[in-house]
Amino acid sequence: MAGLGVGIGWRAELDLSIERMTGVDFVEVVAENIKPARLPESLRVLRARGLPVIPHGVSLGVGGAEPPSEARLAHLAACAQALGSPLVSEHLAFVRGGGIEAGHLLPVPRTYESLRVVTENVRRAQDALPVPLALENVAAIFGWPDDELTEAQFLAELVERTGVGLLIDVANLYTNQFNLGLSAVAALDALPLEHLAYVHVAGGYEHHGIWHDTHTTAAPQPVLDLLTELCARASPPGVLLEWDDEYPSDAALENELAKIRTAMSLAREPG
Amino acid sequence: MDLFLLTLSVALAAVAVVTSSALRRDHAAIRGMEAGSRARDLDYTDLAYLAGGPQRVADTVIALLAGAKAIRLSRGGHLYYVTTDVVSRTPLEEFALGVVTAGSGLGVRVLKEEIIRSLAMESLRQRLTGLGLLAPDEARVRVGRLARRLQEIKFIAFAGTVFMVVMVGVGSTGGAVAVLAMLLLAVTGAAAAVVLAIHRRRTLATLTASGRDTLAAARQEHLRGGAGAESLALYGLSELDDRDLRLHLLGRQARRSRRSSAAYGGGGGAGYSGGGGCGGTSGCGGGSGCGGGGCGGGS
Repeated sequence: MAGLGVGIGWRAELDLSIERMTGVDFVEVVAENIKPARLPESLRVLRARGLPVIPHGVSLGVGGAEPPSEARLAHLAACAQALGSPLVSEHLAFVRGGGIEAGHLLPVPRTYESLRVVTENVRRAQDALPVPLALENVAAIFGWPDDELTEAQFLAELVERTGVGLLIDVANLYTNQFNLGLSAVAALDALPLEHLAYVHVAGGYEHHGIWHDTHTTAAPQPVLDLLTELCARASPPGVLLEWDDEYPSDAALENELAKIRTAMSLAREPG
Repeated sequence: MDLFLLTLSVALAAVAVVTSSALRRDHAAIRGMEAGSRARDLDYTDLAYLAGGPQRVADTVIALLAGAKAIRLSRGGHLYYVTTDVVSRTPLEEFALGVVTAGSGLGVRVLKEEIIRSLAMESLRQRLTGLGLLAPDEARVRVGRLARRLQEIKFIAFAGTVFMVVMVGVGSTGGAVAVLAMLLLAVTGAAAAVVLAIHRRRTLATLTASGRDTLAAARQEHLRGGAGAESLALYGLSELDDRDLRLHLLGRQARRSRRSSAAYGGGGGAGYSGGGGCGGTSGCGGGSGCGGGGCGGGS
């Protein structure tokens, strides 16, 4: 995967801010929020400057029992083509079943039977897309009973079977550790990081003992520490800050990007 | 029938002449008002009001808040709340921040209208009137009433002209008297339009003599091209150094507003902005696509 650098999630609210921000090497845009035939002016400006723009889907649902929708895949493909994207990213998540939308990115049941279905779904998606696909680990609100694999093992198997890229969200790893007691470092150890496409970093907050991955605050130090841990194991082609609401000043966002760079550089420091 | 229409045309023309004269007289009276010596210690909102009225004040407040990153401006002229500890300096800034906080994503034009209608703006106007820099309310109300009357006359005159053209066209009438009535109506309508156009240029010029002196002194002190709130207030958004900010604050309204930019103190700026409303980023929605704070289970 080509180097992406450090980036930020493009949001319409932040369009001018991002265009004027220093230290943004690439952006990611929620694919469902754009029309390929009428790209936002801001994205065209960024593309003209040579910044890679990655369409990030949130509704494909490769973790479902049903094959991914051809229309959704066509949209992702059109986004990638319109933006000249180097890859497309989505979530390893279950989002609908029997025509009912969950409204959340739910974890997939991590069984071998489920793995077989998801593998087929991912292959279909890869066939429909003009660029490589990367899948993101989600922040789980719960775990399914009878899981046979950890999330890292499941992803590793999926990568082995399909060659799909990985989008590792260290904030999601932290959330799962905080809420479900799943070791984030153990996950990093088990993930095939040589297939890493890029990394997500985001903030959230704790409320009544639950970590909420809201993307509305600065990334806490444990999340940045996880980024350092990840960078100690692999060199991520890109690291991207996600911020989805309650936006701070441009300076605060730039400071977050600087903190990400610092966390990455710490992995290169001896001892 | 023709004679009746001619009589109506003459009456309408007479009312138009009387109304126009009264309007001109009242404008002259406002401009001639003397009310104390030049005021000192005015802040930028005071100067903006003197230079361009409520529109200029609203423009200046929004531009300063956006420039200070207290609110975020996006393409298409949308304004967003920013979680920041920037402190508002004036009641109008405080009001504007409150509106954006309550309705993040609103258009520049909407915020401008809110600011213009705010109690803080009314307080500012009353303060300037109290300082003898603005004409009293009664004078401005009278001018407004006369302008509305002239507007009605213009409408009736043009409608009557069209009516007469149709009547002549279908052959219902065509005598010299009818043609004379038609011409009189047309001239009355055109004259009313001209007087109204002049009025529109002057309508905001409600500064008293000391108000004009104060404004002139402020412009001598703060020349065009100088940095700071005063330059923005006195000369308008064209003074903004930040090209992006200027472009997206002015938006599509720039050309339209330039027509009425002579404003209070007479010229001195590119007029008010108004923002561009929506567009530009259509189809983008905003947010994460998963609703509010992220994607539920984490994206």
